[in-house]
Amino acid sequence: MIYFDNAATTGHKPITVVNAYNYDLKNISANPGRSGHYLSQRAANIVYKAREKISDFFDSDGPETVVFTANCTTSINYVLKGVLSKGDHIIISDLEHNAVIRPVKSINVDYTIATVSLNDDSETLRNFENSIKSNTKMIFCTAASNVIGKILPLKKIGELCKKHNILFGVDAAQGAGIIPIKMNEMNIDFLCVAPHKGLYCPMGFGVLIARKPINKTIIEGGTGTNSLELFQPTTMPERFESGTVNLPAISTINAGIEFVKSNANIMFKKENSLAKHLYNCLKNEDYIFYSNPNNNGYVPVISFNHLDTQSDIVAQFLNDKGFAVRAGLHCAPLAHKKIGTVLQGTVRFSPSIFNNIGEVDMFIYTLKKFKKH
Amino acid sequence: MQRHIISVSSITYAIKGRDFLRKHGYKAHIEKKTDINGNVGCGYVIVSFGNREKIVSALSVANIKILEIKSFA
Repeated sequence: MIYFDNAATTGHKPITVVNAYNYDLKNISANPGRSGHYLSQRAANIVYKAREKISDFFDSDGPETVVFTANCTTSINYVLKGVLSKGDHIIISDLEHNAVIRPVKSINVDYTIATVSLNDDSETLRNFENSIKSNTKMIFCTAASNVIGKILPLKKIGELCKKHNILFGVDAAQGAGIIPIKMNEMNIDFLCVAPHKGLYCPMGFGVLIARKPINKTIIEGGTGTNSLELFQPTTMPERFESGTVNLPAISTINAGIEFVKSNANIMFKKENSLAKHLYNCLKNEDYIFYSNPNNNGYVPVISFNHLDTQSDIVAQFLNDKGFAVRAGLHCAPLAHKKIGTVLQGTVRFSPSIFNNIGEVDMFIYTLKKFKKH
Repeated sequence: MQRHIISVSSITYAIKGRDFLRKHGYKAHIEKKTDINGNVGCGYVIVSFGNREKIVSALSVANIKILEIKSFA
């Protein structure tokens, strides 16, 4: 199967990632930070080195700011539910995933949805600034839309947050590894990462990087320390790591980040050229595109439809022909309201560095043969 | 040479402290203890050797909070 669903998870992992996972599972299956024996300490060391690597890569303040969670959604929940309280106001964008919207709704705080301009970042910034109230505690937004690939102006939003003394949180599920994200430089306080996407690691763990305190916990339990204390320890990162972490997956962080770093110069360029090729070859056919990869400010995640055909029908047709894409609403209803595709959904094409132009040509050829049933 | 048992708040800070001390030429390793810091339960200590004041100072530079330090001749 030809895999173009890399925004859901990167379908092919680098061999270095696979080897790191296999090696760890085979040789170091011990619980990190729980026991004192050699293997447990070796496991703890692997986790620590992964924290260092992540902190360096995202320009954070050290390994203790890096928390391993169950997934990126969990990381987002930790931030929103841990920081916001009754009476607070938060600003989110109109491209947010349900991973952001649903926690915001559940904690019942005042919120404003700021409109992202698809071609003018200054307008986006004005929309965020105009949404600020006296009780605004945080701006939380995606790094890039998982539906249309629009990159948000993180550095400018970070400056805005600094100016107004507001916390800044970023859902980097679609941005991490694809675009440079530097927490100090961009004034990002909380970064939530899905390593199984742009960092090419396995599924089963997420990352939360917190440069500012998170007061409340939503999960409490064993941390391997202070066992006689019946309250959750305050020390980071263990405060947010009750229960055993996914060591084999975490052990792949070094390989994943090194893979991204060593391909940084060609990765975005190659993936974007594949997205452009698809767009340029089909834009004059019976296909509607909701973003143009020829424009700057987009990651190579593009949505399209065949006229008014339901997106899942096109995706099923493609599946039958051997192509993996995702159809539907992509858990991002606000984005679909914005582009007018709530009822139809979209077909999402998201290549990785492992795809090539020949595969896209076959995809285009197949789509040209699609006839509405 | 004096031997020091330095209690810190977590395995993360124990590793950070150990690595920092090693980088600065001290011998250091980690042990698990059950009676650290006034017996609050399990935790990790850095075991290091050398001048106590210099070790404490080095860990302070690395932003590592020492909960308790016991030194032995």
